[in-house]
Amino acid sequence: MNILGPIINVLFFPAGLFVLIIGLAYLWVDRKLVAQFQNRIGPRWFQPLADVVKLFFKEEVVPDGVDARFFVGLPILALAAALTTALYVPLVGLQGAYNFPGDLIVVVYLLSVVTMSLALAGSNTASRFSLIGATRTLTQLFSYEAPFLLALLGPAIVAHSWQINTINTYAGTHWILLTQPIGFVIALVGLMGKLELPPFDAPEAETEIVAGAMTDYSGRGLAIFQLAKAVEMVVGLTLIAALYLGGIGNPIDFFAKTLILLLFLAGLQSLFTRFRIEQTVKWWRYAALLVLAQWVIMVVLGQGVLS
Amino acid sequence: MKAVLVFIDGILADWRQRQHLGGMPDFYKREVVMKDMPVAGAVGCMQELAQRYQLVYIGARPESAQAVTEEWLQAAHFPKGPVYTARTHADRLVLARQLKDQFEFAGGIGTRWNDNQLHLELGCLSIILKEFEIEWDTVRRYLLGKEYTALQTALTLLTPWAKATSQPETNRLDVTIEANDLIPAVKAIHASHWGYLAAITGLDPATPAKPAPAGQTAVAEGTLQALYHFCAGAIIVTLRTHTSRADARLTSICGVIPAASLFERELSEMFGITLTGLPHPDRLLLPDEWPDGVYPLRKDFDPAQIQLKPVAVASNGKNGKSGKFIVPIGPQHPALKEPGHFEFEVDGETVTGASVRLGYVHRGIERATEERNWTQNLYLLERICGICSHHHAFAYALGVEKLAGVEAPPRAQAIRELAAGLERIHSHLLWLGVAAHEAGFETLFMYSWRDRETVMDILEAFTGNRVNYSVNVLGGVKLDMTDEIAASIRRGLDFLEERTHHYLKVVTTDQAFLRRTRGVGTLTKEQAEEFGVVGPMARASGLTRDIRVESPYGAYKLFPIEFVMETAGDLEAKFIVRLRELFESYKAIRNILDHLPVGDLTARMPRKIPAGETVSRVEAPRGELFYYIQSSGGEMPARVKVRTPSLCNFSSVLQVAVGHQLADMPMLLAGIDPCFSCNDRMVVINGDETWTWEQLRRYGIEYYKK
Repeated sequence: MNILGPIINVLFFPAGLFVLIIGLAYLWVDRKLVAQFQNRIGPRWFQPLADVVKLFFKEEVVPDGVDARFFVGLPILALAAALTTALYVPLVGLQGAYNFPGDLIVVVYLLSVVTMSLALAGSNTASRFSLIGATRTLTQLFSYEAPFLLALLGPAIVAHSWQINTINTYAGTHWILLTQPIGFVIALVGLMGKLELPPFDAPEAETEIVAGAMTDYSGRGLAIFQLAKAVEMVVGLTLIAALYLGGIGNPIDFFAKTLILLLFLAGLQSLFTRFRIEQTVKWWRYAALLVLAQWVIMVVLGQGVLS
Repeated sequence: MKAVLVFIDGILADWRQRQHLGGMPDFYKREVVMKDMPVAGAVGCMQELAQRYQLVYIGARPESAQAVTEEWLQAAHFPKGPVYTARTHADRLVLARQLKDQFEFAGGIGTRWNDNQLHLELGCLSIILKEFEIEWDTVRRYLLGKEYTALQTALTLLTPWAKATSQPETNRLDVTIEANDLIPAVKAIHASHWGYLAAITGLDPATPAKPAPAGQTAVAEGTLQALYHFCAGAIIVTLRTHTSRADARLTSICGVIPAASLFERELSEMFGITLTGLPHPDRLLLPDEWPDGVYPLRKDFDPAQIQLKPVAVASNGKNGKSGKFIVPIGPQHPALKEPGHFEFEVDGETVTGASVRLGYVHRGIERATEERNWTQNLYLLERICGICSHHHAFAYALGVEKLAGVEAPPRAQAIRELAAGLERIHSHLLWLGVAAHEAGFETLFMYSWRDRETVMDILEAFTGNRVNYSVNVLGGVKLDMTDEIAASIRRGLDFLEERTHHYLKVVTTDQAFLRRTRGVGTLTKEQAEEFGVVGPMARASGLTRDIRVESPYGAYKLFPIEFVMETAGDLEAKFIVRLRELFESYKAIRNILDHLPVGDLTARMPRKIPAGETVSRVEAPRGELFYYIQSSGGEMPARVKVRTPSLCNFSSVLQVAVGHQLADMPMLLAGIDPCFSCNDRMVVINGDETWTWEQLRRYGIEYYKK
């Protein structure tokens, strides 16, 4: 039993198969919503799954001039990192399978591992599109990482804990969204930056650099990267909902809150023109200042007022 | 023909030699009057005017002097025209009232205030000039128009080098010059800012070579010609140079006009004319495997003899010999849905250099026209481009009609303009979507393409096709407008007009979008002029370049278009110009539907077109479309040269690209609305199987039977 539990946790629920399915489902919701906003019909419900299945059966071309070990290993590392985060967040309203003080920091950095793997995969090949894409991915990572982290630590401070479960319980009685609106917006937009969604999709701007860091990927590697991103999306949404939207206590809470966030995300995606990379960096410079300003206010006013 | 009233005394006749006789009877004595000198320049200007106007002479002379006045005018070689004389101003006013019924006056030329009163009585333009010191250019400007002066200026500019000049049409000047004089002649035109280089046409007038003796290569006789067409408004000046066929060699004019580079590379590849001093003589259009020394547009070219040469494939991952980091865009790239190849040298995200390679879908259409009859070519040329197909057929039909001396009936002309308007709407909406997509603004892309379906449905209902509408026949059109279709067009236009207002608001107010367009890719007016850009590109930079306005063809005289211009020259201006042009198209189409002329749809065309050559220009959605058509009097053209607007605009984007961000490149490319199919008109397909026309025809019939 002692062994079976962790195995189930890792392979089926909450990480593993379950979060993969939820990830693909959320990917579909996102695509469908964006399509509706753009006056298109959009994909059928099984399309993301079908894409992944198709990619798994396609030949994986390993181009000349790449280190094959990294080329194959990096997508797996990305997916592994993304799946690990699913163990610590309150998916479907249940407590994280594992938790320890400071797991919030671990989750945030595991999410960055996904992006780092992508960037490394891009710079591992000789393709110019991949190289530029990797550079842009890293540039973007450095610009949003600090404000994103600061935005997630805001709730941690008021809850006096860096443990996701504790913050979640605390948030159940406090809508931190109302006291830290700036943090919420930055966290949500930071997630868009992490997922490279429009308008922060310069790293994979198809009209300039085809698919950015993933240009040379086909078949299995591409499918795994896509799955990692899908998982990242679910975990990110769960984290923001738990921290800012009054916590997640039960499945209805989970689906309602994350889907509302996804609706916002889809809306933002269809509203904007892609930012050039230097515009993205500039945007995040202001975002970092804003979130810092909020911290200063928190410190000045004291935690008593905010909590 | 309209008439011009010309006062004799002081304008045509310098009577000061008999001033001392004033008031005496001898003042109008024949011997004395005949000694009058014509005013300087008068005879020449009157002869020019007489080509377009009926001249009516009036003199403040007694009626007794009428005969001698007529004699004097004739003796001084003034053009023929009725002569009226009246002694007093009051009499002349009475005379004017009578003349008003006889002639339709366009203008009057006089020297005094009471001449002005006379002109007011006639209700025409009044030109009052200083006695005996007439500035004839003023007369020319107002009565012959600025085109006329442009033609005269060009003639004056080129006279030092002209070996022969002719004026085959009223708006065309053909100047033959020696190859050595090319540079100074082009410099003269360029330095005086006379117009822009519109195209370079190569000609191979030689008869095919005699079969060569065994073991020897055939040497064709004769000469090759290169025609440099310069345009200013409606005026086309052609510099005609010759070079020997055996050692074809001309000096590149890129040193004077850098924008000529693409034209010259095309000329050099197609005709084998070596252009000394060409900055980038690498291949532009022909495939890399194309053998050296084979020139497809020479008359002795034989496609069966082509032996493709092997080409080394560049290994991937190496950044070329230069060691620079080059980002290739195309021929297969998501930013360019059509096959062109651009190479951008980048330093980080900043572009430091750019080059272009075309020809991936070159189909040899120019050559193919020489092997098909006039009617077949209409359908062939229509297939040069899927987006501006009607404009290609339109330009060709207009040109052939001009050569044949046939004019399409007014109703046909109006329907042609209507189809052209619809095509422009669909093209501009398509462009709006593509440009938005390049900027990553997918929502605008989807919305504009959804709305574009409205005009596509209209086109389909009207012509039966979504692409290649096949509206034209030589001598008219094959489709008539019915009330039902007119009503559906009106409905569609109302909807589109509302949407266009919305899009105009989006592209001028959406902050995120403006950050990608405002001040990006700015092409100043001077640069635009230097690079010879055409169409919306030129109009976004403040150049007044629109063939529909400058040189109205077909029904554009009857249903004119207002000029749309912006001066900023950046991407935003290009959006605004194209969207505002849509409103002009809506207006013109409604105007045509309201006042569609009645009558025939076609005029009879001869099967053989009389020998001659002509230039036909129309304003396609992307800019000036230039056709040069030459007939040798047979059933097939001797040469059809097509210069599409994109070719003019490419060089501008390559220059502007430097210093911009890599992220702006797709937008800059989209900004010119490039059309690669238009540029590329040749391809060689080397399959195992070769089908004859008959086999192909049978295959087509069998295919559609299924």
